[in-house]
Amino acid sequence: MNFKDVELLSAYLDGQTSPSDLSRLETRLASDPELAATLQALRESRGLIRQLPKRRAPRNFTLTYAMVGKKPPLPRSYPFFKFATGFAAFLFLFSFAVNRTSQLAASAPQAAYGIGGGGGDAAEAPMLESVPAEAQAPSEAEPTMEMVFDAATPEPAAGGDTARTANEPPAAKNPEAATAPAPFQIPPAWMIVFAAIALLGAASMFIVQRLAAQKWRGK
Amino acid sequence: MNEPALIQDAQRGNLDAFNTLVLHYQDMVFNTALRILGDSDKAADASQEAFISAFRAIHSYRGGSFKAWLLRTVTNACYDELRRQKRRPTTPLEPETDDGDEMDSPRWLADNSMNPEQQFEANELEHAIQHCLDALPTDFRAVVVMADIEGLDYTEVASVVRSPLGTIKSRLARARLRLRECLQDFWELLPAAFRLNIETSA
Repeated sequence: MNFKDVELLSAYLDGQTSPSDLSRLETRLASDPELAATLQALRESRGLIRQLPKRRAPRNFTLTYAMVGKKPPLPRSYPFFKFATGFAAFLFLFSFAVNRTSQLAASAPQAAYGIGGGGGDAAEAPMLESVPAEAQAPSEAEPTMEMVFDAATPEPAAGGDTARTANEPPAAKNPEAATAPAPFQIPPAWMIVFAAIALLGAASMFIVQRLAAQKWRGK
Repeated sequence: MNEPALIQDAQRGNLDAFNTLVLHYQDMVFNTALRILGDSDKAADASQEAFISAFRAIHSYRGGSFKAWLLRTVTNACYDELRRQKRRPTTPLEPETDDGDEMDSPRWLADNSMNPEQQFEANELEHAIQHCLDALPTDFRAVVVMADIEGLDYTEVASVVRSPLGTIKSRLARARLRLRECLQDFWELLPAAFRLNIETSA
């Protein structure tokens, strides 16, 4: 008896043999005690396995939406909240950037003059600071950089007026700068409105999401 | 229970319909996982995983035996669990010999303080059979569980474990022989009435 016979016997037990194999096997079983004993052994094994009690599930395995990774269904108005919040946040950031850029552009000439007044070199700054206040008043012997700049433009006043004009902002001295249009600024009230819409929208989205999730978990 | 309608609803994402199927099949799924894994807690985890996977993949069900399709899912979940166990092995419950070797014989399950009839009451016998099942290679065990415990025919078993019919026949024959050898240690202690019961039921 080889393993092929065992395979045949096992299939015979389950009624899975072909008709030709069946008649041949039954003939052999009637004449071969070893084959019959193996069939009995297989039958007993199968019988024991079938004796195993059917265990019941210790708990219900029903699923929740959260278990299957589905997102809670959100109300139809949710995309509107999402868009409004995003758009308001964009407008707020945009207006903030515009205003800031305008401020920087307006202060740039002043900064340039400030550096010129210091001699245009950071290394010279401590030396200039150490000069007494009286010495900083312009004199003919030691002209300041502002005076050098002023020399290039028509002098509105001479002599004693130099000290006054040195302390004035360059724009006041430059007729072209004085007549330049004011930089574009988005009114702060608008920015407050954008920020408020963005915050309210975000809060609404959060509340809607929480309510939907709570309702969902209760299912 | 209108199974095809419930399956169709579940395929459209209706979780309530799927849960009706879960309630119907959960005992069978748990029992299968228990016999393959041999541990109640792990079987419960594998069953839950199997149902979650089944819901996610239910759109891939294209008719045929839903029971067999579900059993394939739970068998895969059990294989995953067994792979995890291999990666993180645990201390076996089997006692050790004086030399520190693990006892191979299932005789250790027998309680010497009891007489032979008491020793083989149903619970003990279940442990012994489960012990012998656990000793089988995973592929053999799955085939035995499907064919002899869940009562699937060979074609269904082949579709569950995704193997050819010839392989199923061969594995089942080998598994039955091995089980027979393993159960020999208990066999002589089986009550006569129980033996008769087996022989008549087979």
